[in-house]
Amino acid sequence: MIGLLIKDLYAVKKQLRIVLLISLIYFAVSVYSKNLGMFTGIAVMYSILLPITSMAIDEQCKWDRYALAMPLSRTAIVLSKYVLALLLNLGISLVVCALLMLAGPYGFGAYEELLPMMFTISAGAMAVIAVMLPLLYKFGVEKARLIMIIIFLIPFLLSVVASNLQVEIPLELLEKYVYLLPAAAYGLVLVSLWVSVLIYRRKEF
Amino acid sequence: MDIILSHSSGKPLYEQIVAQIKDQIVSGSLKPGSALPSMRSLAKELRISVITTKRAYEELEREGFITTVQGKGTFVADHNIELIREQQLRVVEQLLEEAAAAAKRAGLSLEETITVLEMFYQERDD
Amino acid sequence: MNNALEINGLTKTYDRFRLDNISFSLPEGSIMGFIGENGAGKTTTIKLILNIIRRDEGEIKIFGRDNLIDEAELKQDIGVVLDDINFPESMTPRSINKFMRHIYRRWDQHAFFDYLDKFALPQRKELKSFSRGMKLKLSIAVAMSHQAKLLILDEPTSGLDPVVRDEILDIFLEFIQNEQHSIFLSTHITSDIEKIADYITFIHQGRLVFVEETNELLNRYGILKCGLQDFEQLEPGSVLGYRKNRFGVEALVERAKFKGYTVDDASIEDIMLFIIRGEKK
Repeated sequence: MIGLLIKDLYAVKKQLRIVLLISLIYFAVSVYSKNLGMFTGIAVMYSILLPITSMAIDEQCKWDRYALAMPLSRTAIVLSKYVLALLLNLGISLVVCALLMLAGPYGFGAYEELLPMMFTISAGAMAVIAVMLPLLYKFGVEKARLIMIIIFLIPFLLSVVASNLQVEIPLELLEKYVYLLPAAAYGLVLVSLWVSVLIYRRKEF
Repeated sequence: MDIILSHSSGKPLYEQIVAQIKDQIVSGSLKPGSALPSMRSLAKELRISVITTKRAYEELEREGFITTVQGKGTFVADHNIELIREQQLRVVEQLLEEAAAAAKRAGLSLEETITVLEMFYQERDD
Repeated sequence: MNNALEINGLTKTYDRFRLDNISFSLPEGSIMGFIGENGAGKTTTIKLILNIIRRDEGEIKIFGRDNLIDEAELKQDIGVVLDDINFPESMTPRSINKFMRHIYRRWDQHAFFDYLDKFALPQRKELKSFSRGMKLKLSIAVAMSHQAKLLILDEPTSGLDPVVRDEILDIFLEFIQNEQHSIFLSTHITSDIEKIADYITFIHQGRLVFVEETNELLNRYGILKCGLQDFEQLEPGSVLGYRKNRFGVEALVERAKFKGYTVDDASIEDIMLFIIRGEKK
């Protein structure tokens, strides 16, 4: 499985570089326009986009067919995609956190407020992944494209809205539930993993 | 050791190999005890199937011309004078048979045929 | 004699195609050529052997073990080349090496780089810039760099020029020097098969036509050429396929049944063509 992770990271390395570059640009823009919501939204969008790109690349080069000729179980192949999504999500979230903390001095509110938001959004992204991956496995990247566009616009819009609504939502409420949300999201991920494995086991290449 | 195969001579490849190795053993260019290439490397060099070389070696071994030592390889068997002589005799018989058939076809009598044979026999001695 | 590969009653049904009751064995230490026209079922068979698709019926044994029960273990010892390179385009041979190490227990980095050198493949260039021939050579390099005992190759030389094909055939012959190594390769380039295959399995429209020793085939069959009249006289069933033109007939026959006639050599390609396209008497 480590091997597959290495391969997937190599496969998306171009996109990864672009993501980092755009994130930095957006960060600068966000700082300048004092609207961090957009920045976190973009970051989140990318953490969803990358695993999907990885699956699209696999489909395009008919990787699965070849992978199945190797000593790899179907479960391991699916699991590695989920781990990839997780790693990317955590990685990007960490980067965003770090940048948010850097921006602290510029007056965006204490990071105690921003971190919970970050948690929520990151969990939200994982939830989206959890919904998307089984769809991609079932229908393939091409067919699922439309559904995908709709689905990943939602968290983006949500995080923009969330940052604008921040003023209105009582912080205590958010803090009480903020640690539950990741749990729920990851619970969803586990269910999604189970479903994906079932789908993949039956798939023929 | 030289092996030259013809894919179009009509004679099965393994027979050609057997014949050529036998000739070389009989003529002395392959000395007793000298090592032969393995079936596989021979197949690879000649670009033919291992099945062919295997068959050739099996026949040569059956007739006593070569021996295989497990783990060491294949070697030319120690000279068995009888065997060689028999082999050489066989060649002569075969050729004479062909000659006789050809002579009959050409309408030569036995005497005429023998005369021709004598001519060639003497020639060789010169 | 151990069999590297044993297939019994293999069947797979699709909407428009059916692989029907295929059985054959590949003895250890040999090369088997798997021939048939496009769509005959070669790739399907290979995918079934590797369990990339699931079979409907039949049994498959690799090195004597069931290919489903011992799947992951067996695949450690199988080197595979499927049609067209399957790695992401942004990878380089170096990065492929980095991840293969984690997939195959006996991945041999030195061997891999040796093959890269031998094939003149640039280590740090992306696959995107590789020609088809280079991609195929890379696939072969990968397949041969983890001490596999069985190579399963689907059209490993198609699209390659004769010089490169010859190099690759040499590499296969080298591989086979070890008696425990075997090769199963499908191709429609029958001249390659003639050169190196010990056995030939011919499949047509999902059915097995024959499994024979290459030599046997070449010795047993020939092409009879005769006039139209004479042809009519021949027994039906003695001819495996024929081609008629205005001036005569060419027919694929068993030499043994036609002693005394002029029978030309038949190449594997001839045999294949006559059986597939030839009219039956």
